Amino acid sequence: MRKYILRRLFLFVPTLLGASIFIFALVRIMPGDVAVIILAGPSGDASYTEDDVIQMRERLGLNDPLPVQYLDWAWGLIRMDLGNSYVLDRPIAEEIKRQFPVSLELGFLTILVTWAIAVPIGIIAAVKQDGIIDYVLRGVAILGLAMPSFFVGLLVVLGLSNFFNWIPPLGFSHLWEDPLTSAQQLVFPAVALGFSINGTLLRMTRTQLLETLRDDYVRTARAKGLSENIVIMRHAVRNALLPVVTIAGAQMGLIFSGTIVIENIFNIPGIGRGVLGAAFNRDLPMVQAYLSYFVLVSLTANLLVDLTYAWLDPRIRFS
Amino acid sequence: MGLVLALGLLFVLACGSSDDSAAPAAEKAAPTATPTTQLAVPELKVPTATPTAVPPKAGVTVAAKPKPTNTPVPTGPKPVYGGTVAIAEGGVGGGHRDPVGGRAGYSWDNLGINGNVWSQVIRFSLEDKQTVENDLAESWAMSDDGKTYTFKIRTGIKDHEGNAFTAHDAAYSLYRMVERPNGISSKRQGCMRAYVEGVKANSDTELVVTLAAPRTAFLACFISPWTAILPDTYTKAIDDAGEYRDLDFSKGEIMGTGSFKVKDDQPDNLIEMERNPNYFMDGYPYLDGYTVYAIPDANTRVAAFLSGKVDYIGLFGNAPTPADVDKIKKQLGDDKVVDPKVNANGWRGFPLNVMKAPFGPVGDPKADDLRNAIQWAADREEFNKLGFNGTGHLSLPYFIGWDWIYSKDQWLKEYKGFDSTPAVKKAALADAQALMTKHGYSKDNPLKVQFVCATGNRKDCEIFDQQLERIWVEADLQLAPDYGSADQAGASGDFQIIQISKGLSFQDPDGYNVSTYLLKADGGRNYSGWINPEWKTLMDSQLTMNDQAERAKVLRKMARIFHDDATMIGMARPGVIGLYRATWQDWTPPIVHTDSYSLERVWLKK
Repeated sequence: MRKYILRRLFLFVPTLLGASIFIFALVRIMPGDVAVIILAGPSGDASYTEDDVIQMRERLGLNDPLPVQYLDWAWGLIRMDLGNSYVLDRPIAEEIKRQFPVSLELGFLTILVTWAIAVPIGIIAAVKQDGIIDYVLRGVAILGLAMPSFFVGLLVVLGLSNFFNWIPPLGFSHLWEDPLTSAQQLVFPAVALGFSINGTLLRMTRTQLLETLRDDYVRTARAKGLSENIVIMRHAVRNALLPVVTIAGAQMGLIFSGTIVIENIFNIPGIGRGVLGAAFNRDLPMVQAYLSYFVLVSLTANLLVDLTYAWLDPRIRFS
Repeated sequence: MGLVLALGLLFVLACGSSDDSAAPAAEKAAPTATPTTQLAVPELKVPTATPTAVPPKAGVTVAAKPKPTNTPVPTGPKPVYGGTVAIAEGGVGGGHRDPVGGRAGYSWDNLGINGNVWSQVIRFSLEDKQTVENDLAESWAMSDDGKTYTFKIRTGIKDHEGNAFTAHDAAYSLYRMVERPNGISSKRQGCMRAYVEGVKANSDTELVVTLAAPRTAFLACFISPWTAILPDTYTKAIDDAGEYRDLDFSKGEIMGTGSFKVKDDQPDNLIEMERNPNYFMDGYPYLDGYTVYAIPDANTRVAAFLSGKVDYIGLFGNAPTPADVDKIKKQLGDDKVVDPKVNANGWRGFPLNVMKAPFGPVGDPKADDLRNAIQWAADREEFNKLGFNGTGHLSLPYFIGWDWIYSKDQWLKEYKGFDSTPAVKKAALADAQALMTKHGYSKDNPLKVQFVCATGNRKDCEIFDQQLERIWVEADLQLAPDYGSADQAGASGDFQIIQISKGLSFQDPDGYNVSTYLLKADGGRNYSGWINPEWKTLMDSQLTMNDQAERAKVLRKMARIFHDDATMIGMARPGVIGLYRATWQDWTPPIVHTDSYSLERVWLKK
């Protein structure tokens, strides 16, 4: 197992390095002169002179050769010194420090809601295969797959407003500051964000369980006279969930990228909101920082899933 | 089904607590004698729909009443104290707090600070948004040569930390706008840099601003809310440190002399204000405070208004649309909301490159005809309806709706191409087509031109493109990825038609002339390459005129030249809609979207 962990960690570093070069290059090949973009302002009508442009380029370090710019940025990334936002004139690290816990709360709540809903329903759908309940639940799953989270989010906001004359409280509160307000603010975006993910997980759980229920050892368990509940929950579900764990890991990245839209619709001041603001304002250092963040989150999630998977399935850690 | 059930359960959970609905009604009755600081300054009154500050006659001292007195409110119900209001702001990307730095002022939270936390030396009256009233100054005067303005700063002003505020603080704020220490961008105070030569405080109460030359538009520039005045406690320390950064609330740096002080500031979330009990204008404000929430999504803002969680939405960041307003009025009732239409302080248009065939040079018969054909064929009303939901204001390139120059009817009558009445437009279009035919262009042989447009203004360009097709101009629409790139294309002259949008911080044609044409080297956008010596002479002559009636005559001549040269096809001035609850009393909505949003006089009807 130790060897496996080390091998996995070793792969983590070059992936991160490659991603950082890709992010740096991606931002550099975007069209437009960053200095001019900043000076022209978001609506393009601010006044500036050629001298202003020259000074701005100098201030941003854009006159340095690209490798120097990359090394400066990468070294800053290692030291967690991400520089200052072009637009806000504030340290980027402080912005991310402020936004990260918010998105983390939303992300974990989404995972919680997703698992709490999708797995039990997937099990029920499998057990009641081809019955009316199965058809309805599969219909809901397909609906979830078909509807993007921003659309679900808008439907939720408009539904709450039009039918109940209510929307979640404004002014974000953390879970540890005001749990009830925080729950009201986060539950709906979590459901909206998790709706499409629910569909995938539900279908995966159902399919895997159906497959497992046809395995020999399940038939053996039944032949031993075990109750159906024990057969399903203790023998079948545990094995069926292994691939589901993998899918769930991959979906962590989806959840965090999904926050970009959902946080804006539900007015949540997290990373997703920051990403949109940075992109809207062409705040390139912030865009770079956020992209790096997403890469780091995705890689870490995948690493954790792989480790969990290896822990659950001895065949992997011994292969 | 499980999902639906879960959603229902979660909703029950969510609705389980008390609702933070609309602001509570005012509790405390105002004293019978309500203070007022409205300063009647007849010389400054401008009888226009759009405010334009007019300087006093040379040598005249404009005095304010020294302190608000127990003057009864002349009309209307008696104001009451108390209550809070909530505001939805649409900007994304957080707010920049230093009014001189970065992108300050692009969202309501910044403007809300400008009018409420920061003060000004003099400002537009909060009651009519047209006359000028004193703020930090108690009187002021202009020298006989029109170059020196002397402001007497009130005594006894305390900032939010209880420190004395003096003319030295005011001078430092102005110094930052003019000199830009450490390269502060100071984007919205370009007029200060263009006009002001020096600023000094002769004493704690005397502030002197010296202009490089007499300038009628200085006053309009100076009373713009962007000319915000701060105590120098923190700004000076930041500047002295040698590297610019924004003011930081967590360090207690967002502090001014205005009627409200900042209680909490959470970027991308909210900014909460509370009454300044030591405000130098006794008796104000009436409200206990207000909160600005950052709500980027337009649908969520409307939902927040409908559910009673906010009391004001607009004007920045996708202001409410006419459809939103209709929906809200239908649901809440016509008498429950007020929806002023507010002009944006800017305009949209299309310069034609006279340095390049086929539109130049001016004086070439064919080029003149082609430019005129476009001028006549453009349908401004259609552009306004499609581009701005009809809330915009028809405009010439830069004389945009100041009635003291021309009324709208006069514009339409005197300038060909501006009247969109079907019969008139049809005739103008026929004349335009005749000009095109004269030079051999037709449906089968269109005039092909290169048309540069910023992606952000794509809609404008597509509308204009369709209008051009009516006179057989086939435009190769090239979308620049951002405004900066479009600017660069304009500056390089690599276009035949280009889209341009221009906003300014104050209301005066001089502002438009300066930033758009005369001072190209200082950020102007005269990409057309148009120069008319007669126009330039007239322009120079009106800069120092103090008599607006005489000045208007010159401006009319300039407009005529500009229209007939047809190098800039002006289309419309964008408009936006604000929306607030009818419980707000004594609040004059901004007349333009960059106007003061001060809530100093607002009180809530029970």
